[in-house]
Amino acid sequence: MNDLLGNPALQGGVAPFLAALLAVVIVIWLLRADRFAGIAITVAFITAVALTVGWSFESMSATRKLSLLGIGAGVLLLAAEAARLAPRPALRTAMAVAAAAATLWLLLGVLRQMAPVAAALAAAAGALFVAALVDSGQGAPRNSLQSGATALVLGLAGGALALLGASAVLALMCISVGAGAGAVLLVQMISGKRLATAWTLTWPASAVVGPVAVLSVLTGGVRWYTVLPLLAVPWATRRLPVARHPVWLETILAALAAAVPAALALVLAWAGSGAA
Amino acid sequence: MNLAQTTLLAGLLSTASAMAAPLTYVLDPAHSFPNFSINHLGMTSIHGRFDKMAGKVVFDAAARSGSVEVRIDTASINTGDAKHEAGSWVARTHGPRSRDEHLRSADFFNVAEFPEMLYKSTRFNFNGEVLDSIDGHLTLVGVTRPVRLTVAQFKCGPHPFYKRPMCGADAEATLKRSDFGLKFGIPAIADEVKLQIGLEAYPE
Repeated sequence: MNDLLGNPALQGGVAPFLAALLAVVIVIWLLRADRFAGIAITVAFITAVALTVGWSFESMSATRKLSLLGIGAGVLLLAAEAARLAPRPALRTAMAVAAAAATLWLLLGVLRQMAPVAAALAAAAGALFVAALVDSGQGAPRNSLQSGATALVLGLAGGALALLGASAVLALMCISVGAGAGAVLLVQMISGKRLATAWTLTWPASAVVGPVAVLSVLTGGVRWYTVLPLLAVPWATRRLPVARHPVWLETILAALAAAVPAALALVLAWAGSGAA
Repeated sequence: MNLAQTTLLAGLLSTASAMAAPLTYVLDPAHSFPNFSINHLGMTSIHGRFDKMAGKVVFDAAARSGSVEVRIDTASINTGDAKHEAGSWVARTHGPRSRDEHLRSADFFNVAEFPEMLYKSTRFNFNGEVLDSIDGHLTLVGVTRPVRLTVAQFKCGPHPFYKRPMCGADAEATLKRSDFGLKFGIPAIADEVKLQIGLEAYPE
């Protein structure tokens, strides 16, 4: 059993996916509250954290802070949906700013070890990147398939980047987010119905993948320019004409579109790792 | 007792107290290394060491007491797998990142946030005249836990060639990395880590 629970594929993929699937089924079909379906992505993330690093916060490293950040994004999602907040520009900006501030908090331990000028540049660039990613991810406020595809591809791409940055734990955390988004998309594909809300769906993904991408650059040797294409992932899902496609087809097309900039990021990271 | 006798007695007493005073030894970084081994996949043991260790030992032979404080550069970890050259067998088999790079990452020693680990003793334990073990605390990735070092051998004497006074010691310990939150890979990579520390030190 320990061997099974120690398998990375189960820790980052299978278990989070199944946990998210259960959460989506409960939220959509039992509670009939599909606006909260995005919490399934947080459930997937929590599952991965429980199976990998656990819940000790004796040492507040960046990884431990990321655990709290992922949960915090889920709590905000629940609060925003419970209050039926509309995706107004001011609120979207507030979320982006909050994400930037949270990223600075997460990076404190790393920044303390850097020279002051380098730390200031890293802090500014990292915060700006995460703010841009969170804001970009909110750009499809009414299309749960585009938002779901964004979360799916960001999670998987962020995981691959973290692996190239030599951290399997951060990779599993990102992949779990992708797995959770996959569960949310799968339920929509099976039911043929879109969710009532979309703009909060990307919060759990952006809140995890953004800081992991920054950590991969600062601590994992990933070149800084390789993470920039991730900013285009949400944009890419919205390039497709919004025609009346079946839900399953629109989901696949959105995911494929999102995969283009994600693939570019991975190609750049692979080439920069010296493996090419 | 006259003045000469008093002066002589005072001189003898001060000399005796100087001889009994604790001496501070500084670690020789070229001959002091913390080594470790850990079981990998139940198949073999991976051996490694940290290449940079610095610190001091304070030792009072007469009082049978002492202290040791060492700092280890976590980025200096070396398990013989420093870099995977592009196109090489190891790169094709194990990926572009080496084991040493992985060990420096957030999965293990997280050197970006915790560039040092620290061992600070609390007590020297003697068995008669022989230093038997050292109790202390190890701080690793921000977590502090008690660790007892069993002293396999401890000796002070002149360097055989240069005749400088020096001390040398070998110490061992076994700890669980999960006690420090280093859980990645358990049980495929064992939880138990065996430490073997060798050090040589010279008076400050």
